Amino acid sequence: MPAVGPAFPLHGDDVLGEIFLRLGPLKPSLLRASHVCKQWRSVVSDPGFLRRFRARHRKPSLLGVFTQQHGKALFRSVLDPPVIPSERFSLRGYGSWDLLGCRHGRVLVMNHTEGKAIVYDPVTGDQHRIAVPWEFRQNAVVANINGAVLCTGTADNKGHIHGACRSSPFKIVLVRAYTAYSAKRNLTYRMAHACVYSSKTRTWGKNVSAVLPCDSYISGHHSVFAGNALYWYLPGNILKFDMGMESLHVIKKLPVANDCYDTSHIIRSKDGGVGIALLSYPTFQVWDMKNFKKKNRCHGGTRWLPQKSIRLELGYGSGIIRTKQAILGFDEDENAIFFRVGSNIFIVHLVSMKSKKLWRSYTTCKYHPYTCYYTAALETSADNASATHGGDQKNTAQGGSVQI
Amino acid sequence: MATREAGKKMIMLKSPDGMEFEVEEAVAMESQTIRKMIEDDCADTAILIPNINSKILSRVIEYCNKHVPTTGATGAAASDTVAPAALAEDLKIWDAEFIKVNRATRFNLIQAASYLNIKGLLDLTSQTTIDTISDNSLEEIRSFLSTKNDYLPEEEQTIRRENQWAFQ
Repeated sequence: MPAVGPAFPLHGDDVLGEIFLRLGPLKPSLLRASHVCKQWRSVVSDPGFLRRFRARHRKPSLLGVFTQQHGKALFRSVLDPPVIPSERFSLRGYGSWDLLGCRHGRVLVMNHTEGKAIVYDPVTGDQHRIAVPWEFRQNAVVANINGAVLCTGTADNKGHIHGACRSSPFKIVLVRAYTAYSAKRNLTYRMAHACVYSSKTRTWGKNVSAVLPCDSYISGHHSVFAGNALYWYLPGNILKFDMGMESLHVIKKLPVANDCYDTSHIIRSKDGGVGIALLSYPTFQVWDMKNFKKKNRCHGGTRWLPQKSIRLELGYGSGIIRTKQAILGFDEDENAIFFRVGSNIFIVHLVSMKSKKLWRSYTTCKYHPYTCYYTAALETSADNASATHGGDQKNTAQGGSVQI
Repeated sequence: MATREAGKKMIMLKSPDGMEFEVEEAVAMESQTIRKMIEDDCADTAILIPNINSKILSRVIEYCNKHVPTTGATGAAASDTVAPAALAEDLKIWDAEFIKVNRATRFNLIQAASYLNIKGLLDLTSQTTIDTISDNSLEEIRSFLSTKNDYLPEEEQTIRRENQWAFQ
């Protein structure tokens, strides 16, 4: 039993810990509490406390979205009121670069000018700048590169909860589509290849490749992680990278037309596989992909089953033309789709199918949902001493826009 | 205060100021701390509850009495037969009345709920403090919760600069 004062006995570590556990995860209250006095800081930055806090709140929160616009990876909070100012998380790019995606509290940016993949932690401001294999060092105009970052903390610790992964190892998967030429047959064909970087070994693995359908290219949609595989959208097809096998495949025969890729998006289905969402205002449709074994064939096939078709009631007439609507991004953690109808941006949760208007926007840029625990900021000091991601250059920058 | 009922095991709780409270075992076991003592056979005669005066302890017992799942003749929880929604609504109203206390009492109740490990009481009593931390400036938090800022001015400036966004 800790010593307590008679009138205001909130001075014991145990009592304070119990109260702080109950702070909501949607506001940076824990971070704020750490600034009240030294004792409060010591209570909330205790690793045992942080573990309990994350276990209690189970899921990290969707804090906002990153978009690539105005020369920045621009952050916009989806919380109401917007707790995190845009400039706190936003990155200013230079040269030629692309925002590839966010996952497990990290943001992945490809800087073509430098030939580096940049893994950025917005909460702490940490950056890892990793030189990419030569195949991925291309002029952005000809490069058709996409990629994904993901935490591999679950491999070492089954109880690991994503969202406060900053000290856990991560992997980067880069994919690119290119045209190859066969002199023997005198023809060109489309290929994709993928390469994996592991922060644990600080090395890139071997390239794996797959033949793509004619004229395929990897769209600007971010990847979706489902099962143990990453999926990217090729208009009309899907490119799948199996993390376990480290192999690349093309999934063909999607239930949506090739030219609908702006109004459709890969999603994670209920059973952990993948699906497709299609917006055709006022209708919103969801398909699930099922694998099946073909008789007398070693490889199975895929079948698309319609799951849901709902009518969105957003107050527009049904005459919205296709160019005035788009699916902008998919949040894997919340199972929600960001979409645009006219100049309004909405979010729809795929389980409840409830939609909510977020804001107005006239740009057509893609949304990269960002989900994290605020607690990551409290782990900074402890982790800086034991950070082991060497090999790559590591920068730490705090406050305001960070340059990439 | 609890009165003895036939067939129900009673437990004696003692506060440091010498008051004794006889309560049903089921009521006392709302506290996980006391439950553990009973289960470990450390509670033969009376249990001394340190640091919680009789005024606060009696309020805690009042809370536990209200929140203990009442059992019928067959031993099945009453909440199986009474509409759960109505029961929850009734408890909510009762809780709202219960927590209308001054700040010092509320802090003492938090302290007691934390020591005795009574989750529901801790949720109830700490809500105001949680709101205070969530919705106020650092100076207001310190003033409302009688906490002293022991950061040196330069330390405070540094941490403020690092996490400026959390204070806007």
